[in-house]
Amino acid sequence: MIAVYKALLRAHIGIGLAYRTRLTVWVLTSLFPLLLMSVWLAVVDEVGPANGWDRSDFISYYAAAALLWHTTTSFLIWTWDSDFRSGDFSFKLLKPLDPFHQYLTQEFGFRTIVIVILVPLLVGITLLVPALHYELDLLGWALTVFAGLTGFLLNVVMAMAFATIAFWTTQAGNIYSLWWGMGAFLSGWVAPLPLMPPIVEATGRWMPFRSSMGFPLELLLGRLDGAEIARSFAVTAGWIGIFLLLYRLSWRRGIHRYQAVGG
Amino acid sequence: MSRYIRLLRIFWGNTLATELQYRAAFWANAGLSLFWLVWAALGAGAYFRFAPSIRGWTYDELLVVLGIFFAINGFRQAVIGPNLARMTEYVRMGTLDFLLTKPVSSQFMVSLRHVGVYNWLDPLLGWGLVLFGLIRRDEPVSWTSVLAFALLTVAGGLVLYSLALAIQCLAVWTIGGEGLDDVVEGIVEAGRFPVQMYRGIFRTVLTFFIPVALLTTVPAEAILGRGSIGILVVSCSIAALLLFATSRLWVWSLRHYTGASA
Repeated sequence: MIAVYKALLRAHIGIGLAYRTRLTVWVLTSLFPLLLMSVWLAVVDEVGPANGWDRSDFISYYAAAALLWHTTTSFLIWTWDSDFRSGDFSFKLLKPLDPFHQYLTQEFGFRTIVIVILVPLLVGITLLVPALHYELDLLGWALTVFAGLTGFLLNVVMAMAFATIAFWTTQAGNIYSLWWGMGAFLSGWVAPLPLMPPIVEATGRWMPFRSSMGFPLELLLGRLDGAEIARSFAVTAGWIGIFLLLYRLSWRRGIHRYQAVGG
Repeated sequence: MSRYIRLLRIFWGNTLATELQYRAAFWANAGLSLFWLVWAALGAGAYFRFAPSIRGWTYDELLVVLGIFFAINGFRQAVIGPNLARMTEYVRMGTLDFLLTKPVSSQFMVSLRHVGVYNWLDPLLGWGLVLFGLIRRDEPVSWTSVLAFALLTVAGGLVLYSLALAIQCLAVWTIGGEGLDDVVEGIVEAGRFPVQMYRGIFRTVLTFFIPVALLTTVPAEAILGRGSIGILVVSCSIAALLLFATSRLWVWSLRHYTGASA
């Protein structure tokens, strides 16, 4: 199994590297978190620290958010949708390996490239920009990386669970983007959760969206205590379990309905 | 001119006829647009929990900017995006050679031939939000402001069209141009907030180099009664100039086009 994973991973990294311009453009155009940061800095300029968040907190938060966005967001649902429509999905079914693993390695492959490009860049920027400060011990860093990884895994499993809707509708992207759009407010993307209205914050802490964004970010800024960290990991693990179960159930029922359009 | 309008009616009419077979998809997308609009408006409220106004913009005024952003973003998704997305293919597959032989302007063919139908309602939704923001703000709006707003909206559309055309010229040279529509999306996305909210280098770039300010901030200032005749004249001139310059650029870049299919 490990050998299969290694081979698939290598293949998908190769595919990703073949589209270098695409990749650069993609990295360059994702300045959106920096725009959000810019607005928060304007707020701080106007009235001083918001709820105890000052300039350097916002800069540190959104710089890391940009990296997390690139490393943990799953575009799997779009690949799946287009595979469904073009008939490529049939080929994936023919291979002697559950498509789940094929999609998972594909996602991992693309992320690997992004990490290799972005991490040195971010480390360089962190050293150059004095406002960026992540005062963490080794354990803190390890927990942050682990949180990012589990968040990414949750995103993939969540996308897979939603993707199986396509068995009934031949298209799952729209429903998923509604769900994901709702998540943008509950994840800490639009604004750090502690700055949201209490009800949004409370909801966000129990939803699956914070796992890959707000949770690692707050960890990184050293704003979470032990109990909160444990609870957040538990929430992530719980959602991974729920979505895995949903995926397996839906897959088993759905695969019989697969009509192989296109091809 | 009337010939081009007739052609547009045929091209776009065809697309519409095809897509109308999927009416449910159309309404689903309209619903999705409304959902995004509401979320964007609510989300912007997060910033105003801490300050009544940010860099001279209140929440109601920001809603006006957001509405204009939505309108122009709908225009991008309906008209700019579909054509831009096909540009790489045109150059790589040699379709461009074929388009050049047509007895109509090649610029027309590469930039307006295709249309997406899912976002036709977005401008209406966006202007609805503009109206909502103005009503909430509860200050009189003069007819001259409305007129200036209308002119500047057209100017903003032309600026965006010109930017997209310039990027298409780039695709002629570089051939590999996947993700070009993402660049335009990123540019328009920056128009979500008024340029005053950005700082330092961001603001300079967005005002002078990539005129994002013309897309949303300037029309918003006009309808809020903060514009001036000077800004109106300058903005419309910039739009006209950009349109002229980019169509020259298109002709010029075609001269360096060597063809791919042969």
